[in-house]
Amino acid sequence: MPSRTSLALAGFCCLIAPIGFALGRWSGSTTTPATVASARESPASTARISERAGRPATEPANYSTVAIENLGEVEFDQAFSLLQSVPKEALTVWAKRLEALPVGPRKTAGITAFFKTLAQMDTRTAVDLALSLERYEARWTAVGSIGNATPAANLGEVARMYTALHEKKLGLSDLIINWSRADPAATAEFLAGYEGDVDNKDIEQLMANWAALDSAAASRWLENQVAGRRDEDVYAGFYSGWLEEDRAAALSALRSRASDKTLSKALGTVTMDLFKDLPESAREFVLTLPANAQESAVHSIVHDVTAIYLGGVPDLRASDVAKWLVTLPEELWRDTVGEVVNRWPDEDSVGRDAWIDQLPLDSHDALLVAYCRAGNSYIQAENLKMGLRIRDESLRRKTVRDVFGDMEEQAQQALWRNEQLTPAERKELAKILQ
Amino acid sequence: MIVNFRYRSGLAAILLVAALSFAAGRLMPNGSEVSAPVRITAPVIDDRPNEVNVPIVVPTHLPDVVTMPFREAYAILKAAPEEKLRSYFSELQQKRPKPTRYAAMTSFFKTLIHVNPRLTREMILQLKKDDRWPAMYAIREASPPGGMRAVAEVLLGFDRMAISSCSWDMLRDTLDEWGKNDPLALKEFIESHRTQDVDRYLPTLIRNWAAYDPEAAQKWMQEEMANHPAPPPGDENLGDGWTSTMASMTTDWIAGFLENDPEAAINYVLEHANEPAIKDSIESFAGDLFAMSPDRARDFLSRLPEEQLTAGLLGINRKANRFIRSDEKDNTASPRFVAEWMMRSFPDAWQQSFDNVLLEWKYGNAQELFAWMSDLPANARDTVVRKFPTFVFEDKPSEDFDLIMQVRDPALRDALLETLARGTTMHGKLLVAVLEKASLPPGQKAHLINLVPPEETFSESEDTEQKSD
Repeated sequence: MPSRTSLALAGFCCLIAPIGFALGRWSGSTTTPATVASARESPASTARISERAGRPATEPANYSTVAIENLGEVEFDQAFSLLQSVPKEALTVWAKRLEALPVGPRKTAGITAFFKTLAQMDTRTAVDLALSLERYEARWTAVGSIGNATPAANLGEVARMYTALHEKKLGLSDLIINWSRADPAATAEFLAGYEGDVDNKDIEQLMANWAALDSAAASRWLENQVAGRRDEDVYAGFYSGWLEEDRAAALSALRSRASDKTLSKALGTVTMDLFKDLPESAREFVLTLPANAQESAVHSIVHDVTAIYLGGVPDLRASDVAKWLVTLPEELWRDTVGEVVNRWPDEDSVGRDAWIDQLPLDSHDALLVAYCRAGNSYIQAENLKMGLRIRDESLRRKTVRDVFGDMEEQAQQALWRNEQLTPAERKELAKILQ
Repeated sequence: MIVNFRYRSGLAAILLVAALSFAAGRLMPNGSEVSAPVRITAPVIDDRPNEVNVPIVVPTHLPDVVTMPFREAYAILKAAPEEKLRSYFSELQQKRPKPTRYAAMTSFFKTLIHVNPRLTREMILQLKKDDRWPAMYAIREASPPGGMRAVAEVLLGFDRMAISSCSWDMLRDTLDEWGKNDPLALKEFIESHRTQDVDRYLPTLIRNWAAYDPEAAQKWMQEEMANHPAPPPGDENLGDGWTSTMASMTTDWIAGFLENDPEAAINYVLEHANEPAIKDSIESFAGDLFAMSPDRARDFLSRLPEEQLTAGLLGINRKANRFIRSDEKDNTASPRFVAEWMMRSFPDAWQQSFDNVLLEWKYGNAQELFAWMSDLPANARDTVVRKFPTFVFEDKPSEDFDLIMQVRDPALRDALLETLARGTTMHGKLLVAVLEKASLPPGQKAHLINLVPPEETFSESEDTEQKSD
């Protein structure tokens, strides 16, 4: 039997335990987080963030020592801790103060750093504050910073911001691309209610991501769109995504509708995707297509290396494309391979020539004919040299005569003077053109 | 003794219980500190109070950085040793399908650039070409100023033309953001990457540096100009060489100077207004000054010689922005404000520099523009009608015709139709087809069709140019 003292002791312990627990919990919740304290006490942050003057009279004194316009100059840790440690009231005051700064890099830098940092830790507040800014430049700098920095998990807030801006023509591409990678259904739901313009190129991105993650849902969504939405760009995105999810099903479906003109871009995109991954699969796919669709499929790959780019560069290498092309039936490359081989990098001309020389005779000569005929006004001597390497003599003479025989006199003389030509080549050219 | 012992034991027991319960209370996490269950598809809106001193457990495998709040991802990547980060990076590269991998890469690198810019740079440069894009965009968008060096080095790792074009330059935007925060760091970066075609970014540096310290920026700029090898013949025609860079540096230095000390910059420009480099800068200077203060801009322009006044007004006319509505609180750059300010401030000079205002207004709010035009005095209205920008697009040849037909004032509508017909230098035949189908009186139709200039072929245009030369 426990003694009376023991019972009293046990009772007292039962009483003291919850009190101790409550005291402990209270003391924990009132402790300043270490990182916040260090941010406040950090020499760097106090030196840089507190160097400011001219606080508006209405601003609460607690935040006045913080030169928020210098936020970008401190370590991210400190900026992050600072914004975390203050109430929304302080953030509002700082946003207004940034907006009121004179035009200049300090203002732009301050707004950018503030909204980028805040968007990452509390997107909703960042959006609310950006929307509350009245000055045009400041508001759009904030909007851009939030759009750039917001984590994928909070992109719904960016969508809310864009909706609230009530602008007809906003660039939605980045939002759609990034959000649909993580949550395509939410992205589509946003677009359904969005009042501004939505480009089909953006829907193409949505489809590419959605179909890769859930082609059935993407397909259902697409079926319910107005006809104008279901254009060749959008289908190209859809099939490209579906290829990621289920290669066999996507290829089979595309093959069965290969004559549909709305799918010609999809054919090209899918062939290109296959080519990048495994050229042999691309070849097999092309060869199983109806004849009229084969050209569309091959064109995308050829076009990538032969197009003239005002921005960007080809995705593929001309040498890879050329080697792949000649594995196809000749009618699919006869007219285009010359342009492709023309783009083979000059620094690898030895590799190019060695590759051409090992081709079977028919392919060898057909390729050189194509090369010789491919328009290249800058290096015509190169075209001629290639033409002179055609092994079949009558084909060689015909090709060279066709290409160079009707040249204007001035151009022909320039060609004769070209130092790239050897005496033997000049002699043969003269013989052919006689 | 026994009593004393019991008393001591009891006291010790009570103290022990109190201490343990205190510790338990203190260490137990608050409800809000416990991670919310991760939702797979719905976006997580993170509304939790800000607690950051939760002990960090670095997961063995790459956590779901896409759905987790930034602060958690940041805390994990910050706590993870470099080897662990490298193992996360390997996992990232294995993720399928592509959208999942890209989403994870974007979130991972957006976070890592805050934690370890050096490692971020190293990892991105290891990625294969297609995967490098989302990673590069991620750090470019999210990086704090402290990570800008790494971002710039990643961007320099690309073929410049692969990520830029004739009209935009991805690296310039990054360097501009960096320069706004720390122009001296940018200067050092440029000086240490001379071999990587970075001269083109000197104007970006100068602009931002001058806004902080115009004298130092000018001194450095002048030394650069003096020390740089002379540009090759014809460089001035390329628009992309050293001649163009030098001209831009001067313009950008003045723009920065204006932001640093408007009064001093205005005086400087007025004193040097006849120097070629400054003359070329007046257009953009006036535009920037107008954005800062229309009154100051008026005062500045009124002190310029006539030629420079036209250039200055051109710069202000370029500030008109179709996206800014007249009824906005900050409407200084709305086309209506700019148009009315120009007419009011320079009643004899606005006519020569008005094209962009009308273009922006037309695409921003055509109905407002038409109503405004109707109310103008006859002389001003004639000028505006003559300058009204019209186009006949190949794919939508009736677009401008349809727009003009919405004008309520018949006299204004007819006058604008004449401007459209006269100004059609391309696709005239398409416009004629539109006019033929239009519900206009036959006489007016014939008159308008007569006004459409005959279409020139390409070689005819060249001939005309040569003759005029």
